[in-house]
Amino acid sequence: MGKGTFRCVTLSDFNLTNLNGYLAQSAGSPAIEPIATPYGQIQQLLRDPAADCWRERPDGAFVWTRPEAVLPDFARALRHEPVDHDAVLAAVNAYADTLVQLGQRVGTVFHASWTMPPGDRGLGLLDLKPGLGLAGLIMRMNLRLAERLGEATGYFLLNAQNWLQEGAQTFAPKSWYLAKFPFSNKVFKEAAADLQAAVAGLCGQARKLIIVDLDDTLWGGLVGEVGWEGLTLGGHDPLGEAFVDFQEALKALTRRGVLLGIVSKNEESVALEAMAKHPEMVLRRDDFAGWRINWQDKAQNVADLVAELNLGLAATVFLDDNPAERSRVAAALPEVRVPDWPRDKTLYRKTLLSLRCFDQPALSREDRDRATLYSVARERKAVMQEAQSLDDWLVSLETKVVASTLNRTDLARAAQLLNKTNQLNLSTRRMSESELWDWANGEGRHLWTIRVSDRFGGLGLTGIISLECDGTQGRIVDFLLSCRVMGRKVEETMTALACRHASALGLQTLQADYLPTAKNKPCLDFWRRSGFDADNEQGCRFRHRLERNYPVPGPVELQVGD
Amino acid sequence: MTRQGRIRKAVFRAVDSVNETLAPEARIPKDLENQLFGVDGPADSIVIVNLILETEQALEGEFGVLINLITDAAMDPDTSSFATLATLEAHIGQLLQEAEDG
Repeated sequence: MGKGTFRCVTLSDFNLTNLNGYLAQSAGSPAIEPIATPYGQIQQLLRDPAADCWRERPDGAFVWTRPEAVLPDFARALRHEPVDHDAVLAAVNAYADTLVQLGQRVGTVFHASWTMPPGDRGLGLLDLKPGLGLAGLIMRMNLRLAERLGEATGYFLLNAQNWLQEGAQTFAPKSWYLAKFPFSNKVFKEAAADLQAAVAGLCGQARKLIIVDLDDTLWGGLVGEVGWEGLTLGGHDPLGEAFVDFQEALKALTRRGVLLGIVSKNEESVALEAMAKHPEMVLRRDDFAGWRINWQDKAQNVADLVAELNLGLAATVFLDDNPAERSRVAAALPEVRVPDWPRDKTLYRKTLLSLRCFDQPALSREDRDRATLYSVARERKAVMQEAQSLDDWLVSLETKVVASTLNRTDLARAAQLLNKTNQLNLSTRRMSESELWDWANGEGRHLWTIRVSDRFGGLGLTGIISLECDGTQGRIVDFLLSCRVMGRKVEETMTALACRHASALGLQTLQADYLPTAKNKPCLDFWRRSGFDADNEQGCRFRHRLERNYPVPGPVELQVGD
Repeated sequence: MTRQGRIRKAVFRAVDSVNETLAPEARIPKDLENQLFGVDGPADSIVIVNLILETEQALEGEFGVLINLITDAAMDPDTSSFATLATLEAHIGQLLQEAEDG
């Protein structure tokens, strides 16, 4: 992806001018540059790699078709002609095979799921009848398309039904007859927003942390005044139920890898007591990665908490019922996403679920376990405070690093890590899964994924290091590590791994070129103390002569798998 | 609000919607006399189609009636009702009056 812009070919059998307009004018990040194609040319453009739209190596493609336009048997079914549904599914297979060819031209392909023509009720009460109904058939077609595309890397089927549900006015027949728009602009706008969220997720820009207020946000009432027994939460109370549902929705997000934090003006002991003792609290202390419960400025508290969790402000969402506090945080910390929050508490859950900033292209075990990992991290930190010295602490952790050659199982998580790691990242390369796989399997290259565990448990796949050989010289291309394990000698262990491998290949020197970004100074700090020699005037190149041993640091055990 | 005020509100809401899809230099100004369509008009046909569709939706929201802006007279290049926002407002006023008169 060049210069922070995602260049996306848009393909359809109908007019996508308005979708392209919404994409081009979106203020979202990263910017999307739509590459428009003439409508109705979809089969030709899918099959012709030499077509103009593919010439400039776009980053992705978005395909949105009406099923009746690309599957003749479905068009017949729409006219209520007798059609063998299995034959339609076979045509879906063939269509999917054509789409898969796009993988050779772009890193990512998005396809909108198919929907019934707006306003068409199909066969009415028979419309879900197996072997007969059109709604039932289109569900099976989407499922088949999802399965076929799911087998390929870098393909995502976006649920277009969501776009039609959002706006009541989804279609005006006049728009089709005048301009070949099968949907209203409300639908195109929703589609553009979903596509923007998908691209942001692919580029590692999904938000990772939600910081919530407590009083009248997580529960009803002021806990400092009414005590935990007097809070509106659960029970046979409409607002109480709404707060429980909101907490359930937050809890569900933690299972998608989103962390929770608290910033609240309260007495900490009173607030924590409420979390521990209220019988209808869904979220308990261990569900939160951290908190700042005091009477200080909320913007400062948000900044402090984000720093403590080693996350960025750009990864943070702040939810507060008080518009003054929202305004303060939004003004002081513009990178933090501060959504408008409804006065009506029954809308809290719906508003949270409508935020598109948490979409990720993969959901790994690390994501699902992240909240637990941070809870364990707090325990680990407590041990650190008891330890006599940093070395004592590192020894007490019994850290184990397992390095594995990149495999298909780890590919999604590795691409996710590559695209979202900012701080300890040597080159900050961003690549799709297929691009990463192709690169790693190129001649003279090796890429390892790094898993870290300690006596408190596994920390998951948290690092990547890759090597490229040129004659007698090796170059570390990727060197990145999650902030969760920074500063625990894992960096030195990864470097030792690269040195060991390079020596085994008979290389003489190993080099790392640091590419500065706004966020990766911690990586430069590591390389300056790494033991490699700074080797150019800018101080961004580091070199090591492999005749000198580079040992695995004492407190860490390294295991190398296939 | 007067009927004329409500028409303008609907038209400007439609202009805002259409402008969301346009680059800043291509946006329709909220200037009643600015040439929209025709020999000197900058807007392309898709923009005019969008403006018509969005205006019809906005009018339905404002007045609760479906107004078909595309009539033979309206599409006549010599007397185009879509030449400027002012001519569009006049066209809408006439159609609303006809709807009221039955």
